[in-house]
Amino acid sequence: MVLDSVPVGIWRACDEARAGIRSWDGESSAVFYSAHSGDTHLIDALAVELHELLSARPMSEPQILAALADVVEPGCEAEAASELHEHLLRLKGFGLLRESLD
Amino acid sequence: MKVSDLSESDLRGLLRQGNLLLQISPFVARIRSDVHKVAHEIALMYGDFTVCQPEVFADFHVEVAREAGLRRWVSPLARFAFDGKRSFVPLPAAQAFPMIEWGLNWCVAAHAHQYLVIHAAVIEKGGRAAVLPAPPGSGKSTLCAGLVNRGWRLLSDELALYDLATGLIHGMARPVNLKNASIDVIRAFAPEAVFTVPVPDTTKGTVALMRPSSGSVLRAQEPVRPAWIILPKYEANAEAVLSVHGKAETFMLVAEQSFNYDIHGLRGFNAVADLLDQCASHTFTYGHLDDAVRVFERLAAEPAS
Repeated sequence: MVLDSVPVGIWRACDEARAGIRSWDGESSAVFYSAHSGDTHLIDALAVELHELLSARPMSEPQILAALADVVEPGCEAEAASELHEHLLRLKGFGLLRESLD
Repeated sequence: MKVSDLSESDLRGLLRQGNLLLQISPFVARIRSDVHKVAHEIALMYGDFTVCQPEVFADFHVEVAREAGLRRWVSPLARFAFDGKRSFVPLPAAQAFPMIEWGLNWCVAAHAHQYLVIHAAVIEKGGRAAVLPAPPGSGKSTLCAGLVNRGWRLLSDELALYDLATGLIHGMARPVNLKNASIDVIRAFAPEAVFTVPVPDTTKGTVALMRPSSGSVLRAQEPVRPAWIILPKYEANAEAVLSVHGKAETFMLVAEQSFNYDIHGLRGFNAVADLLDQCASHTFTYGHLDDAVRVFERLAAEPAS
């Protein structure tokens, strides 16, 4: 039996979410309105950064981590990877990002 | 014609016929009441307001009428009605005037969806408005009452009407609703201010209304560009401290304190964000009104950004 490679989750920005994001210079938080749910969420600046990053091109979690390497504390990569996964799932729940299998 | 041009007897007649049309810009309210003392309190609180002719279109038709039967005479009760439909529970007739005030607030909050209606006091100086959104108990109305007795113009102590198209804020310059200890605080702070007789044992405790200044009423039709959103918090004997507050966090509070934010959807979201764009955002803790007045004076003296 030949095993295929394990499918990798690819994260994309929800394009329609762009109109519902507002942030202010120098602030660590931003707000996001989901037209889908009608809810408004307080999100952190990283969420906005992730949306912008994934708007440029879809990425896997390792690729996202690599793109954020400059802001991850050295030696904390494993914890950052775990936190990132939770963060991505939360933003998916808000309707800011979506995930598909490659 | 102003309310002050009418005798209490005239006012009582108009109220009984349902022909008292008060201009509470940007609205007109038609008021009917058979509760005797309402005319006196309207004369006291609304003296500078314009009375419209009976044929003028009224946005809100409100009534506070005595309950029928024995309760008309024994511990009389009165009930609020909107568009002829009796609403809310009957309350002691002594609360008739506060009931009209609360009822008018409800009318605006529940129907004026051409605005984003924010639960906030609004005052103005030098063409710039300070919006004070806060949950009950934060000292918002007390601070508002203090400042409007020291030269700030009153737009509202309760409802900021944010025009989604222009970004300007309207207010009605209606009487300021004070509760419990705040009544004596403002009486001591502004002995010249005019109040209704305090009504005890309401659902909000003891309440009294403070008459708005003539200047505020005369300018009630002038909307104002908001410049500051200030989240007040009263703490006994605290120093007055004004601190910058994150706009995203302020956004969430303003949305939470808006009666119709959800109705407006993305438009409401953008309206609140635009409001934050054009305002500085602060928290303000205070324990003494004199200190608060000084802080607000400094704020008003700063050049517009």
